[in-house]
Amino acid sequence: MKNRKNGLRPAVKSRQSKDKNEKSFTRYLTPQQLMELDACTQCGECLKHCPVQDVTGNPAVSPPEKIRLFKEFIKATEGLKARLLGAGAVDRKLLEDFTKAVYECTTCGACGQNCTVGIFTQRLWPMLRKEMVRRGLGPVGAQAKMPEVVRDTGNPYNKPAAERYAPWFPDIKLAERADIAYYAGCTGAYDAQPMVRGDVLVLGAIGEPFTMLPPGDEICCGFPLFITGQHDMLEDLTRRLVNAYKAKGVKTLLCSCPCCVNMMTREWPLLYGDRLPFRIRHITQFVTKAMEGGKVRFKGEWKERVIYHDPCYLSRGVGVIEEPRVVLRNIPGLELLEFDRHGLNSQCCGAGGATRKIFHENAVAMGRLIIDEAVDKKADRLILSCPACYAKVNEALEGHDKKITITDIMELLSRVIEKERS
Amino acid sequence: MGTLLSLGYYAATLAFLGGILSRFLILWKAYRSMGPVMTSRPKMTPAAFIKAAGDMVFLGRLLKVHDVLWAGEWIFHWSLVLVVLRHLRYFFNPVPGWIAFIQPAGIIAGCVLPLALIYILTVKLVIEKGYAPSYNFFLLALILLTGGTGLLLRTAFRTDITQVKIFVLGILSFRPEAAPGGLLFIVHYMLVLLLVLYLPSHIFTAPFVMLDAREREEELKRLIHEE
Repeated sequence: MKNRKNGLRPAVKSRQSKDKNEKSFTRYLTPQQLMELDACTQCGECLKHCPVQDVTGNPAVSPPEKIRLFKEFIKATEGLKARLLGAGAVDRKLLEDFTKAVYECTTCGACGQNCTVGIFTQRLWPMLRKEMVRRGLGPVGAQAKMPEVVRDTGNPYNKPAAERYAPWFPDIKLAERADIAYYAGCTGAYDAQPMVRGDVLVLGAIGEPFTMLPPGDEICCGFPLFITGQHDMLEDLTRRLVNAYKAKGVKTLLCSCPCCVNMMTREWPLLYGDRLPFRIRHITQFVTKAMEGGKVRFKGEWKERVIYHDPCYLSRGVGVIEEPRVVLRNIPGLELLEFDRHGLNSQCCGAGGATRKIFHENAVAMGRLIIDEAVDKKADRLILSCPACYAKVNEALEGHDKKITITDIMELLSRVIEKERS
Repeated sequence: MGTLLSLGYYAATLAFLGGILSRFLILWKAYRSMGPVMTSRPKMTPAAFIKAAGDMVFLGRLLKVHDVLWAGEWIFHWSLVLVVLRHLRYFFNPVPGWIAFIQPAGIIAGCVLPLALIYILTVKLVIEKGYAPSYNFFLLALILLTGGTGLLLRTAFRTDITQVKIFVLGILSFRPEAAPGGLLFIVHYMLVLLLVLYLPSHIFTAPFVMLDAREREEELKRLIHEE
């Protein structure tokens, strides 16, 4: 049965509720992930880099504690004693505490980056969340409505598709079919429009033909569902998007949202069941190439000290670190500053893990740490390149005693380049 | 006493092997239940393998995040390896040449091991005063006690190593022999059995995870950075 509105299959509670009574905690974990759980040395080095620790100071929500607890769950249900004497019951309160801890995490991956054995936490936490969803303990708060909302509207913001590109979309001519396609993403389109507007203006100025899906077809990439452990619709979403771009003859799919880029690069091939028929690139990678090819012309100088914040899913997620800096350094007159923690060690702004609206206070506190450092370093402007960061850090700025102008990287670039090509 | 201690060895070994088997069954179930796509791993490249080998031999990931702690941990891990290898002389008759060869290094490692552990505990408890998972400290304390009693048996309260070998070979041949005399030996032996029971699983799985992390890095370069 398909939903009449947008053709998405219903967000059925099929497998997740059907297997609610299965005792095993390892159902969704790959052998690699099980080995990762066992490989945690409990050294605690990751804690020094955990943004949730920075603002809560609560070791109960720390990565090693989450791993220790989950291993206890596995041991109680599938350990040697459980196999010989029967699986014991896992304390409900402990499960609830674990669920809160695993959902309070921003999934920024700083723990994995600094893990002394290299545990891939950016993928591990969503899979532990998925197990909690199966047990009816997760997701938390408004996240639970997300599958239905995505099914009904195609996006997690419960906004009509008609408003996806309106009224902010610039006057740029889109190709019907092209080698290059641009995916705006739901957060950019509904929550950080200046960013997507900047993307489209820059792409227009570069002048290479590019296409986009109609607003009704550009549905959610699946990231918010993936990250909250609600995976039932993911294959369907992936296939629809991949096939739609394939039908347009796309060879390179550009996106500026690091979460979407991550989802497309790491998860889509698994969900699609094959290599994607096109390559995925972050917009700064494309713009860097265009700059090298002389396709970007500046109309003047931008005399400012700006500080660039690496989004977690762009730096640690897919390793796009140098390209945004190349874009910024190419802007005449601009001075680029760095955060103490940047690149692979970048500090999370609090927007990640679909927690920014659930654990709002944590997220605002994390966002303010970023603002404070930017102000302390005497930057004129804070440059971001993620719609979720853009929305949350702007929110953190409200009512804060320190002030700074926040701008998306492409929004800034669109102001300083010649636009006659468009 | 010899029979009792031998039974302790068998019980600890059974529990250890049972734990391994149980873990293997969990892994096997996961492998069987996941589709081939989900269990597919990035292709191993020579670059990934070399980097992972560096991580394993030099604890490269720890060096990147905490060089002060790394010095102690690296010395501790390799001292422990040498001490364990040195003890293999009790399990073989005749003793293979390579085990005889590493004996001098093993003796030095036996002296260094407790010092490295004291260094690690000092960094963690006194200097950093950070997060202190009880399991981590329990394990460090257990190894420190085991290494400390072992060192005392070699220096201050020397035990009859011929008797130790007869005792160990008796266990291996299921014909328990009398245990060497002295309370300190029994304490050391019991600590070793306890260590076998609480042996951290990361010594088996961390190398695979390190390799996987490097393969992932290399794969990402291919996926999103190469033309």
